[in-house]
Amino acid sequence: MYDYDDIDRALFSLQLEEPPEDLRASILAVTVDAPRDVTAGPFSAWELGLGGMLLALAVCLGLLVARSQGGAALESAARSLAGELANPVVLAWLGAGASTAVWLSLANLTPLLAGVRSSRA
Amino acid sequence: MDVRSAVVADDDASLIAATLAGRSEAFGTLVERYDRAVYNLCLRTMRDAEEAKDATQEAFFKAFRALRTFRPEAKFSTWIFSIAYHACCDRLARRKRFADGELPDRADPGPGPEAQAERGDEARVLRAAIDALPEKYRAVITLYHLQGRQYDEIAEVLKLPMGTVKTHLFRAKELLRRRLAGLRDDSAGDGTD
Repeated sequence: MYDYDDIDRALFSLQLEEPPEDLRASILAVTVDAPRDVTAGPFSAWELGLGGMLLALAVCLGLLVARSQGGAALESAARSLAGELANPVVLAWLGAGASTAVWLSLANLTPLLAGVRSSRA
Repeated sequence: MDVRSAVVADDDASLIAATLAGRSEAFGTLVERYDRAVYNLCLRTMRDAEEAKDATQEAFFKAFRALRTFRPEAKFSTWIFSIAYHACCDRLARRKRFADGELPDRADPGPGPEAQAERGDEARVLRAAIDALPEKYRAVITLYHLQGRQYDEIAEVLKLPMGTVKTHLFRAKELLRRRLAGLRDDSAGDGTD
Protein backbone atom coordinates (compact mmCIF):
# COMPACT_ATOMS: atom_id res chain seq x y z
CA MET A 1 0.00 0.00 0.00
CA TYR A 2 1.32 3.47 -0.89
CA ASP A 3 1.50 6.00 1.90
CA TYR A 4 2.38 9.70 1.71
CA ASP A 5 6.06 9.05 2.39
CA ASP A 6 6.19 6.61 -0.53
CA ILE A 7 4.54 9.19 -2.78
CA ASP A 8 6.90 11.92 -1.60
CA ARG A 9 9.94 9.72 -2.12
CA ALA A 10 8.78 8.68 -5.59
CA LEU A 11 7.99 12.25 -6.60
CA PHE A 12 11.25 13.68 -5.30
CA SER A 13 13.23 10.97 -7.09
CA LEU A 14 11.49 11.72 -10.38
CA GLN A 15 13.93 13.30 -12.84
CA LEU A 16 13.09 16.27 -15.01
CA GLU A 17 12.56 15.30 -18.62
CA GLU A 18 15.07 16.35 -21.23
CA PRO A 19 13.79 19.18 -23.44
CA PRO A 20 14.00 18.86 -27.23
CA GLU A 21 17.55 19.36 -28.52
CA ASP A 22 16.64 22.42 -30.53
CA LEU A 23 14.72 24.18 -27.73
CA ARG A 24 17.62 26.35 -26.55
CA ALA A 25 18.55 27.33 -30.10
CA SER A 26 14.94 28.23 -30.89
CA ILE A 27 14.71 30.43 -27.76
CA LEU A 28 17.96 32.21 -28.58
CA ALA A 29 16.82 32.67 -32.17
CA VAL A 30 13.80 34.72 -31.05
CA THR A 31 15.63 36.62 -28.28
CA VAL A 32 19.34 37.47 -28.30
CA ASP A 33 20.01 36.28 -31.86
CA ALA A 34 16.89 37.91 -33.30
CA PRO A 35 17.16 40.84 -35.71
CA ARG A 36 17.43 44.16 -33.94
CA ASP A 37 13.75 44.99 -34.36
CA VAL A 38 13.03 42.60 -31.46
CA THR A 39 14.84 45.02 -29.14
CA ALA A 40 13.48 48.06 -30.94
CA GLY A 41 14.48 51.62 -30.13
CA PRO A 42 12.08 54.36 -29.08
CA PHE A 43 10.80 54.80 -32.67
CA SER A 44 9.68 52.17 -35.13
CA ALA A 45 10.78 52.18 -38.77
CA TRP A 46 7.55 53.72 -40.08
CA GLU A 47 7.69 56.49 -37.44
CA LEU A 48 11.24 57.37 -38.44
CA GLY A 49 10.27 57.31 -42.13
CA LEU A 50 7.28 59.59 -41.55
CA GLY A 51 9.37 61.98 -39.46
CA GLY A 52 12.03 62.11 -42.19
CA MET A 53 9.42 62.87 -44.86
CA LEU A 54 7.87 65.68 -42.79
CA LEU A 55 11.29 67.18 -42.12
CA ALA A 56 12.19 67.08 -45.82
CA LEU A 57 8.84 68.71 -46.68
CA ALA A 58 9.41 71.47 -44.12
CA VAL A 59 12.92 72.18 -45.46
CA CYS A 60 11.59 72.23 -49.03
CA LEU A 61 8.78 74.65 -48.15
CA GLY A 62 11.20 76.87 -46.24
CA LEU A 63 13.51 77.09 -49.24
CA LEU A 64 10.60 77.90 -51.58
CA VAL A 65 9.39 80.72 -49.33
CA ALA A 66 12.89 82.14 -48.90
CA ARG A 67 13.52 82.15 -52.69
CA SER A 68 10.15 83.67 -53.65
CA GLN A 69 8.80 87.14 -52.97
CA GLY A 70 7.83 85.91 -49.53
CA GLY A 71 11.47 86.35 -48.60
CA ALA A 72 10.93 90.07 -47.92
CA ALA A 73 7.87 89.31 -45.78
CA LEU A 74 9.91 86.75 -43.89
CA GLU A 75 12.60 89.33 -43.24
CA SER A 76 10.11 91.89 -41.89
CA ALA A 77 8.53 89.22 -39.67
CA ALA A 78 11.97 88.37 -38.27
CA ARG A 79 12.60 92.09 -37.54
CA SER A 80 9.24 92.41 -35.80
CA LEU A 81 9.98 89.32 -33.70
CA ALA A 82 13.39 90.68 -32.69
CA GLY A 83 11.67 93.94 -31.64
CA GLU A 84 9.17 92.08 -29.46
CA LEU A 85 11.95 90.05 -27.84
CA ALA A 86 13.59 93.30 -26.78
CA ASN A 87 10.43 94.16 -24.76
CA PRO A 88 11.04 93.40 -20.99
CA VAL A 89 7.39 92.37 -20.40
CA VAL A 90 7.54 89.78 -23.21
CA LEU A 91 10.86 88.52 -21.85
CA ALA A 92 9.38 88.20 -18.33
CA TRP A 93 6.47 86.12 -19.64
CA LEU A 94 8.83 83.93 -21.67
CA GLY A 95 10.97 83.40 -18.55
CA ALA A 96 7.92 82.42 -16.49
CA GLY A 97 6.81 79.95 -19.18
CA ALA A 98 10.26 78.41 -19.48
CA SER A 99 10.68 77.97 -15.71
CA THR A 100 7.23 76.34 -15.48
CA ALA A 101 8.17 73.94 -18.28
CA VAL A 102 11.43 73.03 -16.52
CA TRP A 103 9.64 72.53 -13.19
CA LEU A 104 7.02 70.25 -14.80
CA SER A 105 9.68 68.20 -16.58
CA LEU A 106 11.51 67.65 -13.26
CA ALA A 107 8.33 66.66 -11.39
CA ASN A 108 8.37 62.86 -10.94
CA LEU A 109 5.29 60.97 -9.79
CA THR A 110 7.09 57.58 -9.53
CA PRO A 111 7.78 57.72 -5.74
CA LEU A 112 4.15 58.67 -5.14
CA LEU A 113 2.89 55.72 -7.23
CA ALA A 114 5.37 53.35 -5.55
CA GLY A 115 4.01 54.45 -2.15
CA VAL A 116 0.46 53.67 -3.27
CA ARG A 117 1.59 50.23 -4.57
CA SER A 118 3.43 49.33 -1.36
CA SER A 119 0.47 50.41 0.81
CA ARG A 120 -1.78 48.09 -1.26
CA ALA A 121 0.68 45.21 -0.81
CA MET B 1 35.25 28.63 -24.89
CA ASP B 2 31.61 29.48 -25.59
CA VAL B 3 31.07 33.16 -24.84
CA ARG B 4 27.80 32.25 -23.10
CA SER B 5 29.56 30.14 -20.49
CA ALA B 6 31.78 33.09 -19.54
CA VAL B 7 29.06 34.53 -17.35
CA VAL B 8 27.74 31.25 -15.95
CA ALA B 9 29.01 31.92 -12.44
CA ASP B 10 27.05 35.17 -12.16
CA ASP B 11 23.79 35.33 -10.26
CA ASP B 12 20.53 35.98 -12.09
CA ALA B 13 20.38 39.67 -11.13
CA SER B 14 23.86 40.30 -12.56
CA LEU B 15 22.92 38.46 -15.75
CA ILE B 16 19.80 40.58 -16.14
CA ALA B 17 21.78 43.76 -15.52
CA ALA B 18 24.38 42.61 -18.07
CA THR B 19 21.64 41.89 -20.63
CA LEU B 20 20.12 45.32 -20.10
CA ALA B 21 23.57 46.86 -20.46
CA GLY B 22 23.82 45.32 -23.93
CA ARG B 23 25.63 42.05 -23.19
CA SER B 24 22.97 39.88 -24.78
CA GLU B 25 25.03 36.68 -24.23
CA ALA B 26 24.13 37.04 -20.52
CA PHE B 27 20.52 36.26 -21.40
CA GLY B 28 21.80 33.11 -23.12
CA THR B 29 23.17 32.01 -19.75
CA LEU B 30 19.76 32.58 -18.15
CA VAL B 31 18.21 30.45 -20.89
CA GLU B 32 20.74 27.67 -20.24
CA ARG B 33 19.97 27.87 -16.54
CA TYR B 34 16.18 27.69 -16.74
CA ASP B 35 15.08 26.25 -20.08
CA ARG B 36 14.87 22.66 -18.77
CA ALA B 37 12.87 23.63 -15.67
CA VAL B 38 10.51 25.90 -17.62
CA TYR B 39 10.04 23.25 -20.31
CA ASN B 40 9.14 20.64 -17.66
CA LEU B 41 6.57 22.96 -16.07
CA CYS B 42 5.05 23.57 -19.51
CA LEU B 43 5.19 19.88 -20.38
CA ARG B 44 3.33 18.83 -17.24
CA THR B 45 0.82 21.65 -17.67
CA MET B 46 0.20 21.17 -21.41
CA ARG B 47 0.81 17.39 -21.60
CA ASP B 48 2.03 17.89 -25.15
CA ALA B 49 5.74 18.08 -26.00
CA GLU B 50 5.35 20.30 -29.05
CA GLU B 51 3.06 22.77 -27.26
CA ALA B 52 5.35 22.73 -24.22
CA LYS B 53 8.26 23.69 -26.46
CA ASP B 54 6.26 26.54 -28.01
CA ALA B 55 5.10 27.77 -24.59
CA THR B 56 8.68 27.69 -23.26
CA GLN B 57 9.88 29.68 -26.25
CA GLU B 58 7.03 32.16 -25.78
CA ALA B 59 7.85 32.57 -22.08
CA PHE B 60 11.50 33.40 -22.71
CA PHE B 61 10.56 35.72 -25.58
CA LYS B 62 8.12 37.62 -23.34
CA ALA B 63 10.67 37.76 -20.52
CA PHE B 64 13.35 39.09 -22.88
CA ARG B 65 11.09 41.83 -24.19
CA ALA B 66 9.91 42.80 -20.71
CA LEU B 67 13.31 42.54 -19.00
CA ARG B 68 13.32 46.27 -18.21
CA THR B 69 10.16 45.83 -16.13
CA PHE B 70 11.74 43.09 -13.98
CA ARG B 71 11.99 44.21 -10.34
CA PRO B 72 15.55 43.69 -9.04
CA GLU B 73 14.27 42.47 -5.66
CA ALA B 74 12.27 39.65 -7.30
CA LYS B 75 13.57 36.21 -8.28
CA PHE B 76 14.05 35.57 -11.99
CA SER B 77 13.01 31.93 -11.55
CA THR B 78 9.66 32.96 -10.04
CA TRP B 79 9.14 35.49 -12.80
CA ILE B 80 9.93 33.16 -15.70
CA PHE B 81 7.89 30.31 -14.17
CA SER B 82 4.95 32.66 -13.74
CA ILE B 83 5.19 33.88 -17.35
CA ALA B 84 5.46 30.28 -18.58
CA TYR B 85 2.58 29.01 -16.46
CA HIS B 86 0.24 31.77 -17.60
CA ALA B 87 1.31 31.27 -21.22
CA CYS B 88 0.28 27.62 -20.78
CA CYS B 89 -3.05 28.65 -19.21
CA ASP B 90 -3.73 30.94 -22.18
CA ARG B 91 -2.92 28.12 -24.59
CA LEU B 92 -5.15 25.69 -22.68
CA ALA B 93 -7.99 28.23 -22.75
CA ARG B 94 -7.49 28.68 -26.51
CA ARG B 95 -7.44 24.92 -26.94
CA LYS B 96 -10.69 24.69 -25.00
CA ARG B 97 -12.35 27.33 -27.20
CA PHE B 98 -11.41 25.43 -30.37
CA ALA B 99 -12.25 21.98 -29.04
CA ASP B 100 -16.06 22.14 -28.74
CA GLY B 101 -16.32 22.32 -25.00
CA GLU B 102 -13.58 19.82 -24.27
CA LEU B 103 -12.08 20.50 -20.86
CA PRO B 104 -8.64 22.07 -21.27
CA ASP B 105 -6.89 19.88 -18.73
CA ARG B 106 -8.38 16.77 -20.28
CA ALA B 107 -7.62 17.70 -23.87
CA ASP B 108 -4.59 15.47 -24.29
CA PRO B 109 -4.69 12.76 -21.66
CA GLY B 110 -2.01 10.56 -23.28
CA PRO B 111 -1.80 6.84 -22.71
CA GLY B 112 -2.86 7.08 -19.03
CA PRO B 113 -1.33 5.43 -15.98
CA GLU B 114 -3.03 2.07 -16.57
CA ALA B 115 -1.48 1.71 -20.01
CA GLN B 116 1.87 2.86 -18.68
CA ALA B 117 1.70 0.40 -15.78
CA GLU B 118 1.57 -2.41 -18.27
CA ARG B 119 5.00 -1.35 -19.45
CA GLY B 120 6.26 -1.74 -15.90
CA ASP B 121 8.26 1.50 -15.79
CA GLU B 122 7.75 3.17 -12.41
CA ALA B 123 8.82 6.64 -13.50
CA ARG B 124 6.56 6.47 -16.53
CA VAL B 125 3.66 5.27 -14.36
CA LEU B 126 4.20 8.14 -11.95
CA ARG B 127 4.45 10.70 -14.77
CA ALA B 128 1.29 9.31 -16.33
CA ALA B 129 -0.46 9.49 -12.94
CA ILE B 130 0.64 13.13 -12.58
CA ASP B 131 -0.61 13.86 -16.11
CA ALA B 132 -4.00 12.44 -15.16
CA LEU B 133 -4.33 14.99 -12.31
CA PRO B 134 -6.30 18.21 -12.82
CA GLU B 135 -4.14 21.04 -14.19
CA LYS B 136 -3.96 23.00 -10.90
CA TYR B 137 -2.55 19.96 -9.09
CA ARG B 138 -0.09 19.10 -11.86
CA ALA B 139 1.53 22.53 -11.68
CA VAL B 140 1.89 22.41 -7.88
CA ILE B 141 3.39 18.90 -7.91
CA THR B 142 5.80 19.84 -10.71
CA LEU B 143 7.00 23.00 -8.99
CA TYR B 144 7.27 21.50 -5.50
CA HIS B 145 8.59 17.99 -6.07
CA LEU B 146 10.27 18.12 -9.45
CA GLN B 147 11.65 21.66 -9.31
CA GLY B 148 12.20 21.90 -5.54
CA ARG B 149 10.42 25.26 -5.21
CA GLN B 150 9.22 26.58 -1.85
CA TYR B 151 5.55 27.18 -1.01
CA ASP B 152 5.88 30.97 -1.18
CA GLU B 153 7.50 30.87 -4.61
CA ILE B 154 4.83 28.48 -5.92
CA ALA B 155 2.14 30.76 -4.53
CA GLU B 156 3.69 33.70 -6.39
CA VAL B 157 4.06 31.76 -9.64
CA LEU B 158 0.49 30.46 -9.62
CA LYS B 159 -0.92 33.63 -8.05
CA LEU B 160 -2.61 31.63 -5.29
CA PRO B 161 -2.61 32.01 -1.50
CA MET B 162 0.01 29.84 0.19
CA GLY B 163 -2.70 27.90 2.04
CA THR B 164 -4.30 26.97 -1.30
CA VAL B 165 -0.94 25.75 -2.59
CA LYS B 166 -0.57 23.48 0.44
CA THR B 167 -4.14 22.22 0.00
CA HIS B 168 -3.54 21.52 -3.71
CA LEU B 169 -0.38 19.66 -2.86
CA PHE B 170 -2.10 17.53 -0.24
CA ARG B 171 -5.03 16.72 -2.55
CA ALA B 172 -2.70 15.96 -5.45
CA LYS B 173 -0.75 13.50 -3.32
CA GLU B 174 -3.96 11.93 -2.09
CA LEU B 175 -5.16 11.45 -5.68
CA LEU B 176 -1.78 10.02 -6.69
CA ARG B 177 -1.77 7.69 -3.69
CA ARG B 178 -5.21 6.33 -4.52
CA ARG B 179 -4.44 5.96 -8.20
CA LEU B 180 -1.11 4.23 -7.68
CA ALA B 181 -2.54 1.98 -4.95
CA GLY B 182 -5.36 1.04 -7.34
CA LEU B 183 -2.86 0.22 -10.05
CA ARG B 184 -0.81 -1.90 -7.64
CA ASP B 185 -3.93 -3.79 -6.54
CA ASP B 186 -4.95 -4.35 -10.15
CA SER B 187 -1.56 -5.73 -11.12
CA ALA B 188 -1.50 -7.93 -7.99
CA GLY B 189 -4.96 -9.22 -8.89
CA ASP B 190 -3.84 -9.93 -12.44
CA GLY B 191 -0.89 -11.89 -11.11
CA THR B 192 -3.07 -14.20 -8.99
CA ASP B 193 -5.52 -14.98 -11.80
